[in-house]
Amino acid sequence: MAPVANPSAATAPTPLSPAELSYLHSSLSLRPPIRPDSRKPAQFRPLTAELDILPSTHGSSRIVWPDGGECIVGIKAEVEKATPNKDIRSRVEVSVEVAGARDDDPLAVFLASSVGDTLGQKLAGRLEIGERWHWKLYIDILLLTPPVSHPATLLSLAVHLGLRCTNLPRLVSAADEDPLFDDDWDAALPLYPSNAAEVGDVPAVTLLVAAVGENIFFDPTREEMAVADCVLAVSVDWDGKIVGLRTLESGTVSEGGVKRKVIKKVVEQCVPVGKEVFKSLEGIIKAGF
Amino acid sequence: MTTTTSTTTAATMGLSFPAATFQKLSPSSYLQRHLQCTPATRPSGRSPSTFRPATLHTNALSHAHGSAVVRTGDTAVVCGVRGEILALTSGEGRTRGRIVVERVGVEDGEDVEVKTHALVVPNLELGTGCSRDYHPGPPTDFAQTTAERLRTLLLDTVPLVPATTLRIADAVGDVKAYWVLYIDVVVISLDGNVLDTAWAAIVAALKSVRLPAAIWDQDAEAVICDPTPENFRSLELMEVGYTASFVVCENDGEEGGENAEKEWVLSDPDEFEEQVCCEKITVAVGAGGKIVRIEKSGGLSDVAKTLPTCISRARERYQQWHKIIS
Amino acid sequence: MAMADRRRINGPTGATVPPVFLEQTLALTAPRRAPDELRKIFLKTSLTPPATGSAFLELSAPSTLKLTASVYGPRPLPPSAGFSPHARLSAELKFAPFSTAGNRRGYVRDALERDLSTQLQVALARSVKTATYPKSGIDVFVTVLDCEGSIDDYNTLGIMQALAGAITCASAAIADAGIECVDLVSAGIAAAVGEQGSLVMDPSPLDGYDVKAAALVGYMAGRDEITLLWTKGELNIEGGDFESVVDKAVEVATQIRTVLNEAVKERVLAVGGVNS
Repeated sequence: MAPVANPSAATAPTPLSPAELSYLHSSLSLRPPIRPDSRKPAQFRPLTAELDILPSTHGSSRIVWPDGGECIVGIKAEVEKATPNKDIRSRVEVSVEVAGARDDDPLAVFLASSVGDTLGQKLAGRLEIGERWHWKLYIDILLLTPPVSHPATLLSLAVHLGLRCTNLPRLVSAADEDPLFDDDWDAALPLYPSNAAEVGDVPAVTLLVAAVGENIFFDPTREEMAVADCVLAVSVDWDGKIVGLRTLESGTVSEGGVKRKVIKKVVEQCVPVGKEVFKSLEGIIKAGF
Repeated sequence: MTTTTSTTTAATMGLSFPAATFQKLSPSSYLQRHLQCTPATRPSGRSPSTFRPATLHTNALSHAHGSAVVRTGDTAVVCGVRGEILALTSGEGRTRGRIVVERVGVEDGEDVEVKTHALVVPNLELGTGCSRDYHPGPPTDFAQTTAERLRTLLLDTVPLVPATTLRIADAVGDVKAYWVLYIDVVVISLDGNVLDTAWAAIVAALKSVRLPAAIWDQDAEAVICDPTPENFRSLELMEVGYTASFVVCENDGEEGGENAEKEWVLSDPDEFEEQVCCEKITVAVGAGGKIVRIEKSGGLSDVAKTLPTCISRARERYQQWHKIIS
Repeated sequence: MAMADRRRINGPTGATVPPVFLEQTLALTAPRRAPDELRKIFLKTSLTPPATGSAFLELSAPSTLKLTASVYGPRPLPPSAGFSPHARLSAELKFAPFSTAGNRRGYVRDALERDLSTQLQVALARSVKTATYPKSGIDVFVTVLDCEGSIDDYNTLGIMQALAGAITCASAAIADAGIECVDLVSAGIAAAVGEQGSLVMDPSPLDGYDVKAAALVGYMAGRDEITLLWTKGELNIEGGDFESVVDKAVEVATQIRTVLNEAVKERVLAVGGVNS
């Protein structure tokens, strides 16, 4: 008996017939394109975000996506002794739990590695406590509902917000002693200081982009992803640099790959759209504090 | 699956559909009709007593201490041996507080050491896409059984690796640590008789092992190894032995009358023959033609007739393997 | 510490460690290649007769990458899978226990292998004419027998080279299986190394480069289309860094395509009945 690809939470087939998929593909290939929910190509769906919802964590956030997808991020920190040969990126541990899926579900694995890659070395660099000690950050992400559309953007926004409102206890011991911290939680220092945005040193964000013919669409729904020629998860940082890029599974309506100029267009458009996303995130954070 | 059949066989059998269809519809008759010809031939063109010629490449893997790639016909396996260090914790004696019964007649107590500490760990992986029936996932019953057979061969029947060659002692001579050999056999392609090929690959890989010189560092309380390749040493292995597997095909037909063969013993069965015949025999031969193990399962053939055939063929096969591997 | 795998023969209950050496000798014995020089690839098909199609890929010394791919299909999907108007391509990549430096890998698939399997599937899925085989499954199995360098999560080049080899080898195996394809996929890697971010084609983990960013591309040279793009590290858009790294990777993939063509030529001619 032929083994079938393990059905993962993300590859559950869409309940659209080939005719409906073809119709959708045609309407997305038009110039100008028509999206099923009449959004503009670079328009995101509205989302609800809350900060600091879990008092027992060092930082937390909750994002609700309009199609019902809900994501909670909790961040906890522990002090760890520095071992000489370990890569500093091991200071951040990301775990993703998708409701209704197993631990080793390909979607959960992809999301965990994608978030880990996006945060990269910059975050790890912030976790030093003197020479011999450092913080170890545990970022736990829960997707409370089985995802309807691909949750990469949802997760990265939630993690960004969670990190921005993370506070770590203030160090009171001297530099070369064993670390001792202030008991007073109000004296805790934020992981990302309030001027981080001006300096541009904030965590990167992952954007999902679907390409259909010559058109590209941000924040694609599951149906749009099913008819796309190519779906890319692009991680951008504040400076407009691409921190990482991954290709996701796209639909089977058309055959073949995607042209280089389409990818170039995707990546070029990610820069201004990314800036917009960061601006909105700043708005949320300022409103929250 | 393409097999070659001679055109004369087809003419005498009077087939009205292609041979490949006949093979799928009635595999047992297909095999028997081939064997009923004179001289008896198998669908692959071999005679019942012919083993497939084997080829060997050693030391192909860069991260293993010893490795071998063995191909017999369309069955190909890669065996890699890696050594890791097991440090005995302080106070841990050789028997680790367990009661060990020493059997009368056992020559040395050294194989007890290998077993109690699990110093030799063979494993077999069939879930590599080597054949249409095996796909990635937990090992099937067949894989687990074959792995266990290999382990029995390695620890009991042909105890190749004595504990002495795995010990790491300090300056005084106390045993402080052991080398643990992880022997992983990965099957690349499967066309029957994985046991023989896997076993030969294990023997060849063990012979090709070059372990670094290991010293017990008293201050660090750990084992440190010397990286210079010239100081790497081979294992001191005991006498080798090789296996030979057979299947027995019963003659159901009425042709030939009283003088017809009751059954045929087929050496080195391929996948088709293994599926058709249920009686399987494996003979392990040691140095000097000694028979160290006989396994027989399934079937109702007259063992008094089939076993001597198997034993003499197994001894020939031993010579063939010996020439290739040693 | 992972639980002992009940279905396999496990080692001693105490933990074993790989040998620790006196000093790490990292001498580069072979002269480093030029930045635009690729390594020689040995690619042969039909080495696993039980499979519908198979291929074996090996890089020339001093590289040590070796992997095999076998393809089964198109074969019927089990009745539990619903109707599918297209063939479902599944890919599995596995590192053999003896394939990596450092710790021995277990037999259970871990996160890295699942991730690479998904990427392999993405790279190959759109190159196959799945519409020609409804209600079928095509299974691709890749076993990596030997890697270059180590394969932990922070060593990008080692992982990327393994995946690149897997994509090229699997594409050859799919062609060997006689499955109809839109085009063959070859994979190439380019990296920006050092302070200046100078571009290197086909970098190997053994070269000892300080990699700032790397890109792996799965490329169909006949149609000039990309099926898989994976980048790691920071890349500028305005400065054109992103574009140049991707273009370099495409160049590598195009050169590797010639090797792929040679390897499948015999099979393609036999199936197509065309005299060369």
